[in-house]
Amino acid sequence: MTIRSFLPRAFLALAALLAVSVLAPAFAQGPLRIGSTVERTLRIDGKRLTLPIGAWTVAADGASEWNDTSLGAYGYLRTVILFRVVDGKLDTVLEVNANVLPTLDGWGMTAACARNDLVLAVIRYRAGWDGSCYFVSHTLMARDTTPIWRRARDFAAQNRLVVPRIMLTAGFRSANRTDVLDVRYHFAGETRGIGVEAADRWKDSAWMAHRLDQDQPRSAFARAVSDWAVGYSGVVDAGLKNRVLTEDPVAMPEAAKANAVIDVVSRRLAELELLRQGGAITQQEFDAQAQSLKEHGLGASSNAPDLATVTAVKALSYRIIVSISHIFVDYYWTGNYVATGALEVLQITINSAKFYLHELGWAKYKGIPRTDAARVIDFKYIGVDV
Amino acid sequence: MPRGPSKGRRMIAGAILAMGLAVAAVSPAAALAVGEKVSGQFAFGAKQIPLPTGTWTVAGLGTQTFRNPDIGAFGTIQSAILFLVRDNTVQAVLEVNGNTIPVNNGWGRTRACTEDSQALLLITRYKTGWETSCQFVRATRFDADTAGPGAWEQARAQAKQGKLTLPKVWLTAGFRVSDRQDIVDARYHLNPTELLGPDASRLVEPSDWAPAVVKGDPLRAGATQAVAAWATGFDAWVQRGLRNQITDAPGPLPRVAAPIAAFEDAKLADLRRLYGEGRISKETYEAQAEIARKEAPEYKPNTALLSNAVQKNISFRSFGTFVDYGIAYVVTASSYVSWGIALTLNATDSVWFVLNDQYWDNYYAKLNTHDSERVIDFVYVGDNGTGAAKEPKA
Repeated sequence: MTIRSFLPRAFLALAALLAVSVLAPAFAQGPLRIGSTVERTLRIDGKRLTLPIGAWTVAADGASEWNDTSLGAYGYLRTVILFRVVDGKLDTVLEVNANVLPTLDGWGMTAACARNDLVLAVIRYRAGWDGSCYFVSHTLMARDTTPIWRRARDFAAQNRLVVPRIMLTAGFRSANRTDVLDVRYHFAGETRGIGVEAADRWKDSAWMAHRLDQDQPRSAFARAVSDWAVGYSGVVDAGLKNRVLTEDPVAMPEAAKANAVIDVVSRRLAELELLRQGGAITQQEFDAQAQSLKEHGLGASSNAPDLATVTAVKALSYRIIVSISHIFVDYYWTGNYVATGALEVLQITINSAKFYLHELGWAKYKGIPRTDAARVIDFKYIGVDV
Repeated sequence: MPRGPSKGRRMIAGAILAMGLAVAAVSPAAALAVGEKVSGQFAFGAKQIPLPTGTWTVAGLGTQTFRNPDIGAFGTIQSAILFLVRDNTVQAVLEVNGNTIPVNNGWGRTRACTEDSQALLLITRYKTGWETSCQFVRATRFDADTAGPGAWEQARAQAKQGKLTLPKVWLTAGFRVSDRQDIVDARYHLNPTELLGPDASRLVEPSDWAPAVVKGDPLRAGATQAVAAWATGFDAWVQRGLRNQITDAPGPLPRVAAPIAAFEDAKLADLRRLYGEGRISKETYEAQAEIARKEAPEYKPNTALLSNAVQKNISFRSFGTFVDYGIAYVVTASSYVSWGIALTLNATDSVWFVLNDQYWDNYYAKLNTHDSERVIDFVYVGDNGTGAAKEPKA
């Protein structure tokens, strides 16, 4: 082989190698190395999460023990736990759960988003096959609730990091037909000048929503986290579709006011403004679309109730109709008011239960098309939050 | 003493400041340019569009004059036309339309995905409240002299300038994928010559590709089958693109002997990769592979002879009658009267059951039915018999 023939081949090989190395990060979906650090973006199997400012250390990355094969072939549910350490202290624990392979029939919402005993719980939109919600509450971190968390705690112990007993959690769930991102930031109060507490039960904590008014530092931080969560939920939603909502660094909650994540409505208004400035849309189109965005905001939940509610409504209306009809039938055959009354009581009680159970069984086993009623899918999480 | 700005002015100033900050934070995506060469996939309105093997040239870019207040703030519908050229002949034209800004309340389906006699293939993967996925194969007539939307006008000027050869009729594989936020309408117009050889040039009318005609010609049937087989695998790529999850290059355009990997094969390959990397156990691999073989979605409308309510009533009555008999016997201790009550209730309650069930099902269906029933069409290149090009109204 001459130099002349070798050079183009070598150049091609080098170009191929370069192409592979450039593309590799996008394809690198393997588990993260424990102890390595991640900054700005966490890539997780076709999804991404923009991280708040700082270095995040990988404490654990592996398969969750949660496994529900009724959802389809999703590979496995991957749990990644990252630590943010400030001045040698554990400041924040980030817990991310995500599917590895896309499914074809949707995921669902987390039950936490529908609770009414939390500091904050907001469902941005919710339907049969997609949803977005977030919540703020506290979590008891002391127990090894999952194997992955045990590994992360071991890592913390090896690095002489103390995991606070109770942390304030901002949780986000974003899901569509194929993917789910469940993101939970657990913030330490201790590193923010908030006193240590020794509550053993979730409901005894000073972070309980109804106790926050009596505790100024906790109340202020809970409010800061809540404000931060409003903007950050857009980051999680964008990450579900492997998008970056903002190129700017995302602040941690305490500094959120100085460098907040711009909320999604403002961002979309800004995108419209850019299109208007670029001549892609007219002033009239801009005005109409901006008005629509301001009026309707983000998201729309399904109006349809869930299966149990529909079944109950059907059972009730059916029972009212047939109970009247039964009076005549029962009296016709017995000719006795007492017997008719006894039959009515038995028919109402036994047949109502029979109707309800049959409806649920029919829906479950006959596989009628799912409606927009959201289902609840919860994974195995760090700590205790009930 | 100087007066400060009024509250209203302060609010306006605040709003302008917020808008300014937001504009500064929103960085426009890298834009395509006419003449640019792309392969594998390209970014289009924060989505990825998959490209079959080859170097594609951006031939036209534009926006659609599409208005629909129901959609919300979508910015504009941007369009791109790409050519795949070999030896001065256009092998394939990609026509793609998509939104520029995500919306919040979904899009809708295309008329091309509704049942009609001219479709050579029509598959609806799913059609729910806020999302749709469907694909079709049909013939489309256009060449360099055919007028069309803005992007096509640029593209055909390029074709004329470059003296490119275009057939008069194309085999179109179309994909419509949308979710709550985004829509991709991608139509890959394939030059039939690539599948049939030079003989294809005598096929100059869409009627030459009518299903009945195709059925009677083994060559055309083979070509259609190849495109259909390719399309049923390629739709997974279009769906991945909607979520920015295209990580490698899709395969080549359809050839009679080389269809792209089917939906389930791609999933099985992913599972094999995970098992090979040691990320899942053998048991998990086997269990999930079993599921993956059956899970390719396809929307199936209810075509049962008996309505769901009637079937349910039969099921309910089949054991309900005995319960009614039992209750009656407990009270009357008479077998004759008990059967009388049970059978009478069987007859009367069945009517109430079906009426009640249908009423509530319809009532809740109206709440559930959302924009998947809405037809959203843009202005497309050529005539494919759906009338969408002539009536670009939602």
